[in-house]
This record gives sequence, structure tokens and C-alpha cells, in this order.
Amino acid sequence: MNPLGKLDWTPVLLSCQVATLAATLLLPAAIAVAWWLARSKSPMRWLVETVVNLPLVLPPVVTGFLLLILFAPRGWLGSRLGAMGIVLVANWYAAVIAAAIVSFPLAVQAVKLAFRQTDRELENAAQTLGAGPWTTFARISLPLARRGVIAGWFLAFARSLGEFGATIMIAGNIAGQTQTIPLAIYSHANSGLSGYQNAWPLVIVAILLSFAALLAGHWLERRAV
Amino acid sequence: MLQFNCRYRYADGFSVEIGLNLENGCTALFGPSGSGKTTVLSLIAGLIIPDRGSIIIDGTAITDTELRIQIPVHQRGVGMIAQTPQLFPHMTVRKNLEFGRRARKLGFREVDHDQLIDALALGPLLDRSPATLSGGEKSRVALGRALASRPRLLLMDEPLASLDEVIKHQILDYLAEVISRWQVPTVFVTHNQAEAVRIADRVVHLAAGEIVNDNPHDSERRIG
Amino acid sequence: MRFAQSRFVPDRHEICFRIRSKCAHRFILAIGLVASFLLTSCQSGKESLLNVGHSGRNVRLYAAASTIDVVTEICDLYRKEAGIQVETSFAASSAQAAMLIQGARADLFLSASVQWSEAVKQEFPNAEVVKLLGNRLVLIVPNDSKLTIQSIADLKSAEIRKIAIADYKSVPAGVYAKQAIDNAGLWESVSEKLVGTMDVRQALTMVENGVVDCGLVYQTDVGSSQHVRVVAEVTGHDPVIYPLLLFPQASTEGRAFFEFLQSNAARTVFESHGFQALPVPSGLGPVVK
Repeated sequence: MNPLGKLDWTPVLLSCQVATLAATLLLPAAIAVAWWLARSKSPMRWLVETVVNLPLVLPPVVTGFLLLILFAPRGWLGSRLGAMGIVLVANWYAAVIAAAIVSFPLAVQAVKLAFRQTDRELENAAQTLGAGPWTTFARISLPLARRGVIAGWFLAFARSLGEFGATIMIAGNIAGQTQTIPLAIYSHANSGLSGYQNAWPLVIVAILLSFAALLAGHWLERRAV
Repeated sequence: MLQFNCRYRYADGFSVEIGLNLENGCTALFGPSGSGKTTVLSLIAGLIIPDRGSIIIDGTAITDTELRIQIPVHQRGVGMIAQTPQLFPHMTVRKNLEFGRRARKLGFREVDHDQLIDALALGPLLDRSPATLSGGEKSRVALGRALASRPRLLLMDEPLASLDEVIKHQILDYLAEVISRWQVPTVFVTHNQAEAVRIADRVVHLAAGEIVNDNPHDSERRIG
Repeated sequence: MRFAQSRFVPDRHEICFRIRSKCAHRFILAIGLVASFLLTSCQSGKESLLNVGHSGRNVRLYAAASTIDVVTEICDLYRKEAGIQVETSFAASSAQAAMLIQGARADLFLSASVQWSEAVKQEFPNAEVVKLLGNRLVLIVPNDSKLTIQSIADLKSAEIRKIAIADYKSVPAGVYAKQAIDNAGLWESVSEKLVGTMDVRQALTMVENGVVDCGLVYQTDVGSSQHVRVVAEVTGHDPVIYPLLLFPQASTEGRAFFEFLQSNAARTVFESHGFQALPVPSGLGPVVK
């Protein structure tokens, strides 16, 4: 019997879309924060680093709860966005936000490590050749850290695929909109033994996808020398 | 053309306090390691900021702690060749050579691009990656890259230290050739007296962060 | 001079190594201490398990999320009266049932629908089941909502964009809600607006925070919130019944609590929270003291 025969592709495609968008959107911010963390001598660095890493260790449900308070239509940010007609809870965007926030620290760590490893002398050389800070960053530091950036993207993508707690808090379980693979599995697993049967194909796909994402990241990282 | 008068103290207590007055031409800063040579170059390039003092090139201050002037590195027009060539590994030799020209938004003519390539025999290397070059080739590219950004002052921090004797002499020849041909004022740091004498119009002897012997020997090679 | 130096270098390495191995020893020692501590505490736990009849062991109750307030209150009451601590676990009945079927140990299961108590009873045919409570489904909006909805039929109005209900595939409150929507002939126009939640309390939270425009929850859930109001009672679904299941392997304390939950004292508390205490079938009557 083909275990993937009964696979519902909707959550799979949705997971891929949400994870791709989340990883792509968070990357510029992750690069900026990673750059600052790698190069700043500010005494506040440890504090910023701790805050950035918080979603890594916080229960995702707590992250989701905080996001809910922030983005709910009565929340501090949600009320302002609502006035502009933007709603970022209980819909597809919410799933992307939840995934992006939770996987942000992973991307930052990977990129930061790459920036730390780049030779400062090369940046100095670029500056003495007349390149300003921005040109130096864009043409030297960033290209040299590209393996870290690639690794960061794939780590964020893989983490986003697995995001559950924060997503169900602010996005809810909406079939076709926010019901990603983990939410669909949870939903099935709650439906008794027949649900377990239905969950299996998704569980297999989840494992394969995560494996492929990490492998692809690793492979690209090595290739991009 | 360069008035240098700075004090810089490292975290470990080692301090450098030097006053220098350089004419055009090539000046060698000579002294053992730990004598403060590299510190002087870093201060002129703007990579570090002195605790006290000023640096003036052609009458304009690029650093002055009293007037709170600290021109950013990339606006100083000071080229620098470090102890290792520091070629950008993700660019071809050609891109490396063009980096300074593009950063300073200069034309090929303005930097004598083709003549530089000829003078340093870089033509056959242009499309290669820095990783595939020999030590001597890398040094030539680094020299060409620095000159192609049209610096008004060129700093060299023991650029020959990692080369073997034969290559070293070859590079010294190239160096002497381009310096005199493009008339770039140069400060050349070395711990090798023979090198210092061979290339420089003037040798300044440093030890323990101070000048011990300033000997501006006259030379026909002096420029300007 | 050179000799002295070359002898000094290995010396230093040796010192480093000695320091490091000392650290390693301490580390191993610490791990050993922690491990032995865990082992002994496990053993003492076993001992207390063996002494069940003597000092009394805890009762474990898996209960529907909607009963969290009332069951917590009753457990406090029971602890004061009988001196027995009831361990409780609250989640969607479907999630609880899934865990119990997979072998989670419990004495009692209070489900929010017959569907899930039956599913568990299939695994444990000797379990005793009584229909303990009744409840009602209501349509709620945030307190400050300006929507003019009066009945479930208004759910199809364009004003309403998001409706929170518990996961309608499995969680009882969601299953009842779907039945009501189906029977009102609204599924086509409403299903797109549904936001599924893990349990009914999360649906309440979503309405409270204004994440959704309205929600379908139990009447008893509303009592725990100051931020929502009921706009309509919902009909057209199976009666909301909470069966209480006593596992065949339950302890004597578990049985005692099973009976306490059916006592007048417990009924009073259930009713004060808005639940209907269902009539006890004859012959299985609780011991009323």
C-alpha cells in the first residue's frame, strides 16, 4: 500500500509557501541584526542578543501569546494596523508572521557566525581603496558571508515548516489558509485512531521535507565557496 | 606633504608617541617588531583613532583630536598594502584591480589602468581567481590594486615579508618602477635594513614607539 | 636558554592537562551525583506507590477544556472535605481521548461529548459511564462589538469575516457548532470564515481579543469572561452531554471521587457555573450523605 496515497496536498503546499515567504522576508532583517551583533561594541549587545534569541527557547505558545497581544485588533500594534485596514491575525499572514518570528534567531545565528568569520582586513582593504561602509558591506562583507546567509535561509525555512504553537495561537486552524502540516497532523491526531491513520502520510512528508531542507542548505552552503 | 604627530596607547599599556614630517618620495619606517611601525600606518590610514594628535596631508587635516576631525578611511585617499595581499577572494584579479577605480568613480584613463597592468605584468592574470596565484603574483596584484585607486599617499606594511628572496627582489624592482613612474608618495614599513635602504629616499628608525634616528639621506630619486 | 624554554613548554601543557582532567573529574562527579539523586528519588516514588492503601494516592482526572473552572473548584472542595488531591488535565476532549486510547493512565475522564467517551469505552469495555452534565452552545461577540447579529442565520452576513469555533473535525464544541451551521443550511457560505482552535477556550480567547468577529462556545465558557457577551443561543445540534467515565483500573479513591462528582454538593457547584446536572439513572444513584 502506498502510504502517501491518501495524502492531502493542501497543507503541504501551504507549509511550503508559508515557510518560503517567512524565511525570505526575515532574511534582510536577520542580516541587519546579525551584522550589528557581529560588529557592534555596544555594551547593550548581550541584551539585544538575548532578546533576539528568546524565541529559540521560549515555548512557541508563549511567543504566540505575546504576538496575539501585540497584533490582536485591540492590541498595541493591531489597533494601529486595523485603522489602516490591515489585519494580521487569524489569516495567512499570521501564519507567516508566527513562522518568521520563531525562526528569526536561527537565521541571525547562522549569518552572525559567517560575519564573525570574515576577515576584517579585507574590509579594511576595501575602505582604503575608497569604498564607503555601505559599498564595503554590499561588495565585500555580504558576499563573503553568503554561505551563512544561505544556511540561515534554509534553517529558517526548516524551522518554519515545523512551526505549531505560535501559529495556532495567532493564526488559528483554518483549512487551506493557516492549516500547515503540523496543524493538520494535530487536527488528525485528535480525531482518534482513524485520525492517526490520516496523520501518517503528513508525518512522512514532514520528515522528508525537513530532511530535504537541511540537506539542501548544507549542500548549497558547501558549494558556495 | 605629511605632518604626523600622534599619541596612541594600546589597552595593554604599550604606547606610541611619534612626530614625523614627511616630504614627497619614499620614506621607509624601519625598526624591530613592536616598535610602532604598523601603528603609524594604521593611524594615517584612519583604521585607528589616536588618543591625541593630528595628521595633515597637503595642508588639510585628516585627523585632529583637538578640532575633532576624523576623516573616514574611504575619504582619505590613502592607499594601503597590508602584510598579506588581502585580495578579495570572491572576485577575479580584474575585479580586484577595478575595485578602487569603481569605488572612487574614476575612469580607466584617470587611473592609467592599462599602463599599470603592463608595468606590473598583470595581463595574463586578469581572469584568474586570487586563490590560484603564487605569492609574488598576489603581491603584484595588491600593488596594482592599491595604485589603481589613485591614492595621494601609499602606505605599505612589510608587503614583502612573506615572499622568498628571489621573488622579493623582483617585487622590489616593480615597486621602485611604479613608485617613480606614478610619483606616489610612499611610506614603506620594514624590519629589513637592506630593503629600507634600497627603496627609500629617507629612512626613519623606530624603536619602542619612538623615533631613535631620523636620517633623511639625500637621494637623486627624491621626487618633488 | 633554549633548553630551558623547550622544557618549560611541555611543563605548561602538563599543567593545563592536569587542570583540565581535574575539571573533567568534577564534571563526572556532578553527573554521578545528579544521576544517583534521580535514581533514589525514583525508588522512593516506587515505595510510595506500593503504600497506596496506606496513605492514599492521588486521583487523576482528564477533563474537557470547557470544565476547567468548575472542575478546579470541585477539586478544591474535595481536597478540603476528603483530603484527597485530584490531579487534573484539561484539553479538548478529542485530544484527551486520543491520549487515553494510546495508553495514558487516568482514573476518570469527563468528556464534552458522547462521541469521545464512547471511543474510549471501546478500548475499555468495562468502564462505567454516567451522563453527568448538560450544556448549551451560544453565539458570542466581543463586548464592544457593533455587529447587529441576532441569530446564527446572520453568520452569512458580509459584516462577519471570521468566526472562531473549536476544530470541527474532532473537538466536541466544534463538532456541535458544525452541526448547527449545517442544519441551518449555512455551511456553504460560512465554512470559509471559520477559524479553528485547539479547544473551545481558545475560541473564547480569540473573541475576547477581537481576533475574530464572533464565536460559537458553550454558555458556561462565557461566565469566565468579562469581555464577551452572548447574542444568541444556538440550536440544531445534538444535545451537549458530558459523560463521566470511570476506568476499570481506577483506584478506590478514583471511585470515591467518581461518586462525589455525582453528589448533591458537586451538582450545586456545577449548576452555579451554568451546567445542567443531569438526572441520575435509577439504580446507579450516588451515595448521598
